[in-house]
Amino acid sequence: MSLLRLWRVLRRRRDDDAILREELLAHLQALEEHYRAEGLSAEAARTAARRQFGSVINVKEDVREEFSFGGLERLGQDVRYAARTLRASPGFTLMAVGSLAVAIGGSMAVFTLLNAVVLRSLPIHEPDRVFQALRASRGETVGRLAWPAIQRAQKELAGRAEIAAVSRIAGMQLEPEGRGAGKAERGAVQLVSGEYFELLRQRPQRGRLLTGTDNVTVGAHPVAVISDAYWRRRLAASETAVGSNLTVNGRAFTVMGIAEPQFFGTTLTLRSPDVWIPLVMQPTVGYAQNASSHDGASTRQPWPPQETIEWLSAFVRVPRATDPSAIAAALTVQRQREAVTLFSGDRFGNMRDIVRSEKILLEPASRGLSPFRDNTSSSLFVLLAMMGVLLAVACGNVAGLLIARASAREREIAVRLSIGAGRMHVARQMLTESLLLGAAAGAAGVVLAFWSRSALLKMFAPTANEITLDIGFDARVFTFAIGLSIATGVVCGIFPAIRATRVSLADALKAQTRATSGGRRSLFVGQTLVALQMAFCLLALVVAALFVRSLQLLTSMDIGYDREHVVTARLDVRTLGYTAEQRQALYARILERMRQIPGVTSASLSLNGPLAGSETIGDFGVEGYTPGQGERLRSNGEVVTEDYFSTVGLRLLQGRLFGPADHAPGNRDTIVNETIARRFFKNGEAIGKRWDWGNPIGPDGFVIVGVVEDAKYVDLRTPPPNMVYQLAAAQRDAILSDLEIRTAGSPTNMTATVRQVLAESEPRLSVLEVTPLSGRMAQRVSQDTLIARLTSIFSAIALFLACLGLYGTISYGISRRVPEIGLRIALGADRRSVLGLILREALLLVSLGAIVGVPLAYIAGRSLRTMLYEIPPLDPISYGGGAVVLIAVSVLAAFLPARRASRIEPMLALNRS
Amino acid sequence: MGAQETRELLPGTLDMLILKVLSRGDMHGYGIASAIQRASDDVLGVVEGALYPALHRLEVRGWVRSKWGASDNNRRAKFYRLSALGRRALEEEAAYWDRVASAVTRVMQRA
Repeated sequence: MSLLRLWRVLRRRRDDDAILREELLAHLQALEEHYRAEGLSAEAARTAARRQFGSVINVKEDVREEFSFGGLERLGQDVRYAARTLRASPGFTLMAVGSLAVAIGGSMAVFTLLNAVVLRSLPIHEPDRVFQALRASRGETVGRLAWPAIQRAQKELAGRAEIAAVSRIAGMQLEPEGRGAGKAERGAVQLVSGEYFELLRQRPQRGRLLTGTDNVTVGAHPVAVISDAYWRRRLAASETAVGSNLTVNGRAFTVMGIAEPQFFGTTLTLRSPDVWIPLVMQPTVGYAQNASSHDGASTRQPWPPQETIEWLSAFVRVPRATDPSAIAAALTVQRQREAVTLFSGDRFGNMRDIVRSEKILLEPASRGLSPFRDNTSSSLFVLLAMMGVLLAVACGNVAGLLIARASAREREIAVRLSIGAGRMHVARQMLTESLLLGAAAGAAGVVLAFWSRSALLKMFAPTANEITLDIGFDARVFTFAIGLSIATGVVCGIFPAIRATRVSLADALKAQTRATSGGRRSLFVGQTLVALQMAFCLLALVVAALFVRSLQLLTSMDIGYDREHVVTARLDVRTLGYTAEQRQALYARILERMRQIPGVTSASLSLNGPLAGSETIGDFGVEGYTPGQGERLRSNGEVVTEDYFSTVGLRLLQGRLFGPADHAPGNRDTIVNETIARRFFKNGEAIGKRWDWGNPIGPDGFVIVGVVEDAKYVDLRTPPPNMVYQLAAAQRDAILSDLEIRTAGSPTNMTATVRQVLAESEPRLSVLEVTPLSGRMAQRVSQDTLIARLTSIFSAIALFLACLGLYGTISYGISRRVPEIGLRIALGADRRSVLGLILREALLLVSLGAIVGVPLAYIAGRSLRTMLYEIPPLDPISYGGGAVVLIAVSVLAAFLPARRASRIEPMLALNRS
Repeated sequence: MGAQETRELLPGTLDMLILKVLSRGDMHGYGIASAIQRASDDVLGVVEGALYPALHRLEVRGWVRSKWGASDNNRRAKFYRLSALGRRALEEEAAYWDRVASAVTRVMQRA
């Protein structure tokens, strides 16, 4: 029996569609003629026939249903049916898919970055067994360690765990062999210990990698490993690359090998290393980054042998069978022991205290180290949440439209139910439709995300000129996209589907007009949806307002410097290979040339410079101040030329500025900032007092001759740090890397000239950046600017979508109440009161939404506290502003249908009922 | 035009009525619907949305066969014809209907 049936079904399938269509059309025509015969006009007859017949497509579908035999056939049928229904109303489909696609695509783009930066593990063997050693003391953790300490830890753990050390990634001048001289380019270099590649289980693709024997004697191992990317990009994948010469910051190295293509190091950053060299080569290449130095340290001597210069991160690989906390405990015990033996005597008082209060922790480092991740992950999560809100609002719209359409199709659904289509089947079909919408939006979203992800990444790194971070789509991103599309489809379709199964057959079939029993209920559901959308909008608006207000405070704060008239430039004089005397001559030459530029009033050089992003911090002691138990005195140190303060616009508060008399080498006169003067000396007694790096103060300590006003230094959010200024002329071997120029006019117009004059003063000088001080300030708040901008844009989009929803719901409500409104007008209600009536209802919906939105916004605001600058999570201006915008815009959206309602002609309206 | 007060058919009876109409001769879909309505003095109406699914259901069961022909006003139409299988089914359905209908009538009269 069933075989016979199958055969008939299959036979029928062949001539299927066209025949069925013809047959139905013939019937339609016959009906039409019947009505014509009854005396109707041609037009009216056609309408009547159509009405009686129902949608041709729907009848056809029911016929098909008779031929189905379950399972896949059903599914395919549902999908085909859904696709046809969606095609039949292209406007609706385009709008639904479009708004969903924007939200899904945006979420995907953000998730792609999040995946690349936060979720993905390093492409190494057993990344989950790799840890970073951290020093925890008094609630603070630091990752920096001295090389001798790491070497001792290696001995201590020999056979139990492996340890390797890495520096930060530094920008250096790279010059591969075979390029013409002077063709040096900026590249990324990382200093590593010999065990580094072994610990990461890396193999060379050519040559060999570094080993322990490459990292023994300071300055004696000019060997390098290059990355696959660098080999391809700069050496054109040359066969002779291994063994060739590579100049790093002016010193010759030999390329020993090339790393595997997928290996990008252990730092997740926009620009991964091009070259790895042994860390004992630190003095040779002049690496000087991210170090903290303590008693007795000399940053101008080679760093590797020094016990009190901490500049390395340590990776530990723990075997699977070993508990990492046992390793951490062993390291802690060892360090406590060392503290007493190594740092005995007064000279190391500080260091001993520090080490003794410390514990060593092992933190999972499977994802690598990443300052970029630390900076961006919270912004990325905020953006993802924002996209979620946008998606929710878009889903609300689509669900609303589907419900409205379902109630318009109620009669059709009732017919289908009455001829035996199961309610589940009808519900399933409606759900298929919304799932198809979700899938289409997901597909469009993938395309959107594909195009927008690098633009988004670029927004997070506006100054990076070469980005190597891999933001490809992987399985996780696709899983996310598919999950999101399905969730979207279900959320959009579940309400209409459930409602569809509750259609009352008798009512729906009896009813001659469109306003059926379901109308009121679907209006209520629509209103609930709109209120929820408004709640989400308020959340988005408040969050955006919080970020905008925080940014306003950040950009308008008094930073101390005169940001309107200063141009800054970032230099790297180390790569010139000059002696201290040659450098001093160069500094003088540069300053002289700068002062000759018309419009320049003064120029100065400094060690780090204002808001440049780098700083030099050391432990220090102050005459007459005894630190409390466990108190650690630290200060930023800045080395400046004579005119620094007048150039950047810092006022003298007490004493004097530097003068020609201070230029003698070994001069000990210094200037401190207001914070030091206030914190350590009672009412203005700072002048003449002494201080020194380390504690206690040596006989040749520095003398305070002046106090200048405070200024932000590296970070805008924290209060100005302790700051001591030393004169460059008295520190003959200082490396000055920041140039400041004071202009009479606009600093922006001056940057090209400054660049040119720098090139004239020293053609080989590498100039990294020339920008107005205000530009540096903008860089410091670039994350805040980005997040404020993006949240504003996306909350505006969410509001726009929600207003479309509101508009639709109000219009639908009015269309159902035409007779009632007509009656009111006929009974003398004035049109303005009708307008008011409708607007009041809209306002009620929006206010309900806003009331739900406030606690949502408060929860969000509280979790954003750390990202907001001096704005409380319950900032009244943000909440008030958000609510005002929400209400104003949505009332505007409700005004159009309301005005239409007020213009209803009473006679026409009453006739319709 | 909208004043036709026709009733929905009892579920399951449509198939039987179609077979009955076809037993008097081949007919196209529109003709079947009109015939049922006419024969019932406009009491029973056939919803088009139900007619064609039923026709095709019957065709798959092998109770009716179809072929293309010309209608009264010379238009191409699909004519349905009762098969031998359908004729037997009609007898069974009719007998069953008689039993049910007379039972219902008895209940309505006595209760």
